[in-house]
Amino acid sequence: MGLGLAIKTFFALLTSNTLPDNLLKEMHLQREDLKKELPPASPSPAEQRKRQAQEQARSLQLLNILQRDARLIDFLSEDIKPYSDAQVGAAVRNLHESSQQTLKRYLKLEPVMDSTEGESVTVAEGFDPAAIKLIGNVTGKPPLKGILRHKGWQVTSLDLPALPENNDQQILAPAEVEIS
Amino acid sequence: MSNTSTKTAQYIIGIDLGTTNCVLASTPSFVPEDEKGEISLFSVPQLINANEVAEQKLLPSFLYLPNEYDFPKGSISLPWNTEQNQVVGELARKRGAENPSRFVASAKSWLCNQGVNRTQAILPWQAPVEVSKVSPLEASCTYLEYLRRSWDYKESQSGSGAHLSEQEIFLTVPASFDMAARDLTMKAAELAGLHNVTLLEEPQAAFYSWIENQGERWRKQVKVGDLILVCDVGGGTTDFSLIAVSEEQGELTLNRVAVGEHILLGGDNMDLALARLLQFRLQEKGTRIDNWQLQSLWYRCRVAKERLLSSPDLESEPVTILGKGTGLVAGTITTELKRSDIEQILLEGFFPICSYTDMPAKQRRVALQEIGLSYAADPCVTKHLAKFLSQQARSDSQEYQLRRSEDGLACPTAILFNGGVMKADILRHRVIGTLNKWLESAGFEPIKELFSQDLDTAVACGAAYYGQARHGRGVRIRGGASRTYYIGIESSMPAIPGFAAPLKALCVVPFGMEEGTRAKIHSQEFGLVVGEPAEFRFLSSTTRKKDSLGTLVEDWSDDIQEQSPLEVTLSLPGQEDSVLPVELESHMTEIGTLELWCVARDNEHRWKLEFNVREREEE
Repeated sequence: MGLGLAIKTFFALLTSNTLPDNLLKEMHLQREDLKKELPPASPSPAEQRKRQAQEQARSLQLLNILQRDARLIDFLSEDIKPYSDAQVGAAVRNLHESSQQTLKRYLKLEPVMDSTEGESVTVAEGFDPAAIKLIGNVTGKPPLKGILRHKGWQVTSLDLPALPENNDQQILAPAEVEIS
Repeated sequence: MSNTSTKTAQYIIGIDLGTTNCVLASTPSFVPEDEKGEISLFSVPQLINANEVAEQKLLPSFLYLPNEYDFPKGSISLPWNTEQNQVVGELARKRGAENPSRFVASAKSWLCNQGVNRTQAILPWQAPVEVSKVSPLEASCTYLEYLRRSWDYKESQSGSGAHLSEQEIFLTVPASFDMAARDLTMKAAELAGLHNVTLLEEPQAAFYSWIENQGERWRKQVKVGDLILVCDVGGGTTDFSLIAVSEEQGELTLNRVAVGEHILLGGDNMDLALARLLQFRLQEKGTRIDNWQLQSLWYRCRVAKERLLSSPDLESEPVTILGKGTGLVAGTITTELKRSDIEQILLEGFFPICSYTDMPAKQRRVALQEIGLSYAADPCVTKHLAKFLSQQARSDSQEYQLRRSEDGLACPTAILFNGGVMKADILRHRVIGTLNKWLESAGFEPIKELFSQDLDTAVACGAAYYGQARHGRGVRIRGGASRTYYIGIESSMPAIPGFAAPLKALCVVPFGMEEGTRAKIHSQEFGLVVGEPAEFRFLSSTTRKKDSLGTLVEDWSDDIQEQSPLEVTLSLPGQEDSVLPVELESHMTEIGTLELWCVARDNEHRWKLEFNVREREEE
């Protein structure tokens, strides 16, 4: 039986890249067992902290860049209530232009569904609910017809500069001191 | 070519070492027969922010000399150099605007400034003592070395591993550069580790780029007797050249027949003028602008200007300076740049319609003039053009009959523009309109515009094409010496207190003397003391083209200018203190430089005269 099972397993893996239920049964295994991996060697606490810090730095990096090139944090942190629409508008035009340039420089944005908003579209079978959100009277099974209300956005390429070593990115803008 | 290293060169390289930007173009040295070989632009990896290296086609020609507090540690290291203590390119430009005392700009203009010692560490000009300064020569060298190292790095990563130092390099200089400035450029290249270098004039390179774009069609676009004006207005300088089309054995030939003087006038002046106008307007409304805000205004003006120039329907464009502190909206200052401002400042201020007899205002000669860059005293490009074309009236080389008006104005038949400023339609139309007025009064047809593709990168691409042409794969422009050169000879008259002995000028290099030729001046012999340095006064003219070798000019007005002196020490062991009679020999080299030699009568001993680029002493 050993050789027969070995051959069957070999071909099953070769053709479909997975083991069918009957084979698993023969081997006295549950599908869940396959997902069980060897527990990873747990990283040292120091390494864990480093990894965490890096993840955090990554998430702050784009904010850092948007402040540097477009001063987004200055704008979002400011109380703009006292100023006229014209004053705010003038600042925003500037900020909008540089933010746009920055986004274009570091990432490529594309709509999830490239059709005109307000027109009818079909949601195919097997769609990813994270990429397409159904709203309204959601009944029945896909393919579903509906009106595209929002095209959605997705990042198709991201080209952020490498993170410098030992920089947690927590300084979003350095204080500026003019020496005279 | 005689240089053996060209045999191993895989690439022909064109480098535009510009006042505000450097560009590098390359093309393979060997291509199958009947093929041209593609010319491609090199994307220069450079710091664009601290900790961020990106590639750009233009390398801004700026150098920033940081101290330890300027950038976080390690944030300005480059992939090929982690021990970086200077910043070149985009980041240097950005940071320099915030801290001008450590910022080196316009090194190229300093390289041809005779008022300073160009090999002495003087830049940034008037920087505080603690800044370790660099010389104009070193700064130019830094940009070339940066190109070399970034090229080598990229080649080692992906390419064939070819080192830039092994390639055949064509380096451009303004046509108006004198021989000392060309010599210094050559030295900068040598110091940067580039040894196989040939110089080429920028307007010629721009014209080569046009030929390259046109392919074989160029022969249909020009004809025998045409006179092409190359009008090159870049970020910092304005440069004119004339190229004549003639025929030899049934083939069209091109000759560069005139070059203009060095004019420090360009796009930066124009943007600053717009910024000053808006600053004035804001001040009238009670808003004061500090230096930092002026920098920002300068930049925003350039953006607004480009937008107005590229969309003719726009009547005005808002210009906003954001608040300096965290109060962004609170401190926002808004004004606008109107189309009429652009017309007023650019057209009427820099490109006014004028007559060809309107000469630019002369440089003010103040007794205690502050030494610095000698910016053009008159901002009118059209008046400088009028001067250039009428200067050609005074003399003519015998070989080419230039088309002229009755009163001698050189009348070009076609015009080729180059440089970022000339991208603007209204400015090109203004230059053409003004020229057409002059041509009409002389009874000639309107001028024809030759269209170039990319005015920012044409010079580097044209230089690479010139390299191909030297390999027999293209047409060459005959240039030769761009000026007439003289040695000053003090006449032997009884000394009168308070008067310098009158100076005569001995022509040692006639205008257009061809590359690769030598000439000996027999009419004058000099007795030099062996072992002691001797200095020769050196003069040049861009307009006297009839003076032939050995001509002694006794009287001249302002058409001959004194240059940096030349010096030589005759070394001949055992014969110190004896007087040796020598003759002068001039040599226009294949690589575009000029050499002057003292040749002893026995003809075995010769000594090269070196340019003395220290500041000229006022008499």
